[in-house]
Amino acid sequence: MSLESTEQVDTFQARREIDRLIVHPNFVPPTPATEHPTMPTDQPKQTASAEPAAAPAGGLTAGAAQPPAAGLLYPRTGPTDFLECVRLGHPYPPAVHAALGREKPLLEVQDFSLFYGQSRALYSINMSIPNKKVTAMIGPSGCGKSTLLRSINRLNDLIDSVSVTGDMLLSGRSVYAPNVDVIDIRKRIGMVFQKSNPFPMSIFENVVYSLRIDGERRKGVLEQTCEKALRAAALWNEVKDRLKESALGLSGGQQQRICIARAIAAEPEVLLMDEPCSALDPIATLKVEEFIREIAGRITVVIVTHNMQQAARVSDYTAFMYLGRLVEFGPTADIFQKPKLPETEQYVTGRFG
Amino acid sequence: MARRVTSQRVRFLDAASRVVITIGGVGIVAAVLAIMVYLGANVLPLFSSGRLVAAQTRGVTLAGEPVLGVIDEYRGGTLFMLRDGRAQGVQTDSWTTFAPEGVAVEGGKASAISQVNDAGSTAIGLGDGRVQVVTFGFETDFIAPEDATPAMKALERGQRLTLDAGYVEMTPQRQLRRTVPKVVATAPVELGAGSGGVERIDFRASSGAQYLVVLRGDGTLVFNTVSITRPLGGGKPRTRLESEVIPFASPKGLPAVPDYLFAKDGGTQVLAIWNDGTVQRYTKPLGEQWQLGETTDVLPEGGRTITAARMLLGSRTLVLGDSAGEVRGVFAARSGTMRTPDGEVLVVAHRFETGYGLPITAIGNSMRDRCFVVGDGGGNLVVWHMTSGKEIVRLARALPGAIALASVAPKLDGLGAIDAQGKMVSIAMGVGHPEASVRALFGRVWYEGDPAPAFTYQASTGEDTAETKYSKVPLIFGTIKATLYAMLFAVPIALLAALYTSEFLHPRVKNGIKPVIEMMASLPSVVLGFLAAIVIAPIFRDILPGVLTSLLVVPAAVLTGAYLWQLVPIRVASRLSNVQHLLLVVVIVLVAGVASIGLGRAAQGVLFTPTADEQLVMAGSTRVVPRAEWPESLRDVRSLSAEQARPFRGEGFYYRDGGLVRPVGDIREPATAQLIAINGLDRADMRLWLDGVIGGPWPGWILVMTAPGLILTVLLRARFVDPFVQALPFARVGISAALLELGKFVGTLVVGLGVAGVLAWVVTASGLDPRDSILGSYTQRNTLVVGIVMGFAVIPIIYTISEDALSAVPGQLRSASLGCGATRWQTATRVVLPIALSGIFSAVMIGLGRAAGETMIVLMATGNTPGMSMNIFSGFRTLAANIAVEMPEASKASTHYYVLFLGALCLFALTFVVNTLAEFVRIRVRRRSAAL
Repeated sequence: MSLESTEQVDTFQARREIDRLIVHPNFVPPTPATEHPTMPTDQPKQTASAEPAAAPAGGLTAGAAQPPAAGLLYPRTGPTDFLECVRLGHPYPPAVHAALGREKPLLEVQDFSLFYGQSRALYSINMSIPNKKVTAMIGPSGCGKSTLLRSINRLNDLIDSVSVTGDMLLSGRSVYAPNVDVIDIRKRIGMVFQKSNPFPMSIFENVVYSLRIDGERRKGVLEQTCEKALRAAALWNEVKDRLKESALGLSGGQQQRICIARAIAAEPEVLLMDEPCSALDPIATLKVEEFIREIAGRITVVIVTHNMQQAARVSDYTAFMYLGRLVEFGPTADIFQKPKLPETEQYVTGRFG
Repeated sequence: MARRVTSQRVRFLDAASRVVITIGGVGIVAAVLAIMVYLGANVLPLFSSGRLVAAQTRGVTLAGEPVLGVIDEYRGGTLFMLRDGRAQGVQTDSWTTFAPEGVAVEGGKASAISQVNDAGSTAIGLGDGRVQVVTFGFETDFIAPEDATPAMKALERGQRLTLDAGYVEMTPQRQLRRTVPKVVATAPVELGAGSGGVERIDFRASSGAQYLVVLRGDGTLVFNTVSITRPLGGGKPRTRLESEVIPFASPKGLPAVPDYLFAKDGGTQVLAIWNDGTVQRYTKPLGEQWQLGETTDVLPEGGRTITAARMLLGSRTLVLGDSAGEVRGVFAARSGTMRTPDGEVLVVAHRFETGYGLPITAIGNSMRDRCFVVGDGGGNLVVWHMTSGKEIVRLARALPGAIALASVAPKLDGLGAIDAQGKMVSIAMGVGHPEASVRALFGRVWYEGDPAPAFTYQASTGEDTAETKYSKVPLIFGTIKATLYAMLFAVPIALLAALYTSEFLHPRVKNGIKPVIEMMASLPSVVLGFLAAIVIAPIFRDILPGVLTSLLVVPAAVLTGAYLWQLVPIRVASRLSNVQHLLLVVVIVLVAGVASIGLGRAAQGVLFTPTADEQLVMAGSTRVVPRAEWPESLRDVRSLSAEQARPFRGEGFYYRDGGLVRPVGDIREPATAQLIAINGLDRADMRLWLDGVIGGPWPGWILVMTAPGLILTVLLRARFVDPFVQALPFARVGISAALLELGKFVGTLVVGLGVAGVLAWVVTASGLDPRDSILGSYTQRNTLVVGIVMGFAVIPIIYTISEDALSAVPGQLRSASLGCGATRWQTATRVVLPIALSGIFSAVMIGLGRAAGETMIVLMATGNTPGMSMNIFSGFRTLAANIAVEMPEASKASTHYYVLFLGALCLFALTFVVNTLAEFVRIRVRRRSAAL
C-alpha cells in the first residue's frame, strides 16, 4: 500500500482492503472495556458521516463489521498493519490505558474533528487530559498534535478555513458552544509557542501582559505577579535588575522563559506548550523542563514535543498520535516501557516515525 | 555526473544586469541630487549682492554747480541740471561735455529745483515766483539706414559715435540707436497763491496725477495739482495749476524755510524737513482741509543733522542721510488711532550705516525699484535696497572729494557720481537681485504704509512703482496649514481603516477592498480639486453647522453602537457575518451623518440665533452713537473695524459703517417686523456669527472647546473614576459590565460637553474671542474644505502602506496575544500597532509629503490668498500653488522667477526636514522591534 492520504483512496478499493484486514485470522479479541474510559460508546454520534467534508473514509464507518466499544480492531500481523489501517481512514479505537480512568479529567476532548477547508486534520479525537498532570503529545510531524493543542484555546479560529465538529469540555464547560466567549476561554488557558515570541516591550510588560489586558493597574499587584511568574520560570535572578529593558534583548532560552512566565502570570488552569524547547540549546531546554516538573501538580500542562526523552522526562501521561488520530494514551512510563501497541513501541524507540 | 558549470550566457546576463542596475540606481540618486543642486543653483543668486564691473573716473568741467544728474538708459551720457537751471551733459564714453538743445529756464534765474520724479520730470521754481515743469532726461530712437551718415554705418556692433549732444550706438542687432538728451520746459506759470520767489519746490508724479508743492518767499505753502496740455499747433506745452494753500508755520526756533520739502504719493501729504531732524507732516484727510498732521523728530540722537534727503520711487519712502553717515527710511504708516488727523504717523522704518561716519552728502534713487545710492563726504558710495535692507554695492573712495551728486542708472546697471571738485565717476555694476535678502524673504519687513513690520507676499502689483513683497513665510504657513488639516482628517481615518482591514476583516473581503482604495489614489487631484471647489464647498457652506456637528456625532454614534453591541447576547451577535457587521457600521455612519445635519441645524438655532437687538441692527433700526459716547478704548481709533467694536456688543454698541450704533425701536413694530421677516433676519446663521455680525464669543468657544473638554474628561476619568469602577464586583464580565461601559461612555460624553461649556465660559470671561484666532469670517473655499478633500487624496496612500505594515506583523505575536486572552482590539492596539509603528510612520510621512506638495486641490479649492490667519474658514496659498499660479507670469531670470524657485526649494527643504526627522524616529522605533 502506498496511499498517501485518505482523500486519495478509491472507496471501493479501500473497502476491500479494510475487509481483508478485519477478517484477518490472527484477530485478537478486544481488551476489556474498562481500560477505555474515554472510548465513545454511542457510535452514531461519532461521525464522519455527519460531517460536511464527507471524507471517503466516512463511508467505511457505517460498516457493520465495526463492533461497538471494541478494543483493538485490527490484526496483529505486523507493525505496519495498524498504521496502514489508520492511513486508510478506518475508524479504530485508540489504546487508552486504564490508569487514565483513575485521574480526574480537566479537559475532555469529545469526538473532536478539525478540517482545513476540505482536508481533514483531526479525526474524531476522544481523550481526557488529567487535571494538574503533565500530558505529553508525541507523534511524527503532521500528525495533528499542534493542531489539537491549538484547538484547546481555539487559536485555530484565526485560520479562516478551519471548521470543527465535536466539542471539548474545560472543567465541564463547553469550549466550542456558540454562546461561549472565546476570550473567556483563552483567559483560562496559557500557551507557550514553538518559537519564542515575546512582545517588543519591556520584560515587565511582557510578563504582566495578561493582567494589563484585564485592566489591572495596581502597581503592587503587577509587580508581585511579575516576580512570581519570573521566579516560577526560573528567570527572576537573571532579569530582576533589567525588568524595564526590552525582552528582545534576552537570549533565546530566556525569551522562551519570558513567554512561559507570560503564559502562567495570570494563573491559567491549563498551560499549553507547543514544542517549547525545539529552538533551545540543551541548557535552556533543561531549565524549561525543570520548570515543567516544578509546576506539575499545580497546573495542568499539555506539551507537544518531538523529543522522546523530553516527553519521558517531564510528563505524567503521554499520548501518541498519528495522521490526525490518537493512537495510544497512557502513563508515560507505560508508553515508553510497555506500550500496548507495537507501533507505539516502534515510534518511541525511534524505529519509525 | 558531469561537472557542473555556469554557462557563459548566465555569466553575461549576471554581469550585464549588474551594470544596468548600477546605472539605474546611481542615475536615480544622481537625478535627485541634480534636482537639489539645480534648485540650489537657481536660488543662490538671490542672496548674492551686486558686483562692481568697471569704474572710470575723469575730471569734467561744468558751467556751474550740478543739482540733478540723470544717466541715460544705455549709460552713455549723464545730463546735469545746474543750480541756475541750465542743463549740461557729459558723454561718459568720450568724456566730452555738451549743451542740450533748448534753454531750460526762461526769464529769471532758478531759485529752487525739485528732484526728478517718477515720470522723469522736474520742476523749477523761479526767483519771481513762477514755476515751470521740465521734462529732463534722454530720448532714444532708431536711425533709418538711409538717414545714417557713413561714419555711423562704419560702426561695429556695440561701438558708439558721439554726436554734438548724445550718441549713436550700433546695437548687436545692427540697428543704429540714437540717444539724445531731452529737455523740454513748459512755459512758466504763476502760482495761484502767495507772493515772493520760490524757496522750496517738489514735484511728484504718481498714480496718473502730478502734484507740485511750492514754498514761497512770503511763507505761503502752495499745493498744486498739475495738468499739462500740449498745444495742437506745436510750441511749448502749457501748464495749468489748481492751487490750494496749506496753513504752513515753521516750528518755534527753527528757520521759516525748511531745508527740504516733499509731497507724498496721493497728493494728500506734504513733508517739511529741517536739518535738525524735525519733520512737519501736513495732511489733507478725506473730506477735510489741509492741516498740520504731526511734527516729529526723526533724528533723536543729538549732535546730528540731516545732510541729504530724497524721495524714493513711488513717492512714499523718504531717505534721509545724516551727518554721522547713517541713512533712514521714513514713511507715514497707518496707526489706526486718532493721534493724528489722518490716522497715520511718520516712522523710521529702515536704518542703514555707511560705516564711514562721514556726513551723507548725496542720495540718488533708482527709477526702477527701491534701490538708492548714497555718497558721503569722503567720496564713498554705497547702494542699498530699502525694503530688503540689502547692500548691493559699496565703493570706498570712489572719488577723492565729497560726493556732490550721485545717480543710479535707469537699468540699475550703473552709477554715476560727481564730487565737489568736478571729478566724475561712471560705474558699471551688476545689481543682482536687490529685492531678495534673507530678511525680505523670511523675516518681518516694514512695508510702506503698514502699521508694523509683517510677513507679506505680494509679488505682482498694480503699479510699477509699488513695493514688491516677497516674504515666503505666508506661503510656508499656508502649506503647513493645509497639510496639518489634511493630516488631521486623513490619518485617523486611514489608520483605523488599515487596522480594520488587517486585523478584523475577512481576508477575502480585504482582498476586494484594498485594490479599490488603492485605485482611489490614482484619482487625479485636479478632479478632487474641481469637486472640492464646485461641489463640496457650496454644500459645506449650506450645511456648515451639520459638518461641524458630524465631527462629534459620527464618532460618538459609532462608539455608542459599539457599546450597545456589547449588550446584544453573544448567541445573536455571533450569527452576524463579517460583511453584515461592516454594513451595520456603514448604516450607523450614514444615519449619524444625516442626523448631524439636523442636529447641527438645531445647535445653530440654539447658539447662533440673532437677539432682538441684533435683528434691529441688521434691519437698520439704529441710532448713531457720537464718538464722544464711545467706549473709552475706542475713542482714539481712527477707522473703527468690526473686530475692534465686537467686544462692546454687550454694552449695547454695534458696529456699522466704521462707527458705532445702538439699536432703537422694537422688532414688533410693523415696519421693522416686516423687514425682518422679508430678509429672514431672525434666522439663526452660523456664518453671520463667524463674520462677527451677531453673537458673543461663547458659542464659538463651545465649538472649539468640545475636543479639549472631551479629552480632559477622558483623562480625568482614566485617572480618578476608572480604578474605582474597576474595583466594583460586577465591572468585569457580562451584561452588567457592558451596561457599565455604556454608562461610562455616555457619562463621559455628557460631562465632556459640560466641561467644554465651562472652559468656553472661562475663556469668554477672560475676554478672548475665537473669531480672532482659529475661527473667523467664512469664505466658501476654505481650509476645512481643503483639509477634507486633500485628506481624501492622501487617505489611500496612508491606508495602503500602513495596511501593509500591519499585515507584516508576525502572526505568532497575534497568536501570543490572543493566547493570553486578549481581544482582537487589544491585540491590535497593544501588540500589532506598536510593532507596525515604524511602517505606519512611513505611511504618514509619505502622506504628509503628498499633502505638502499637493497643488491642484489647494489651487482650486482655496482663494489663494497668501494670508497668515489661523482661521479654519479662511483661504490660504501654498508654496506649490504659488509656483503654479505665478510661474507663467514671472519673466525668466527675474527676481520673481528665482523667488519662485526658492519656493520650490522651501518645499523641498520642508519635506526633507520632516522626512529626516521621521526617519530618525522610525529607525528608533524599528530598532526596538528589530529582533523580531
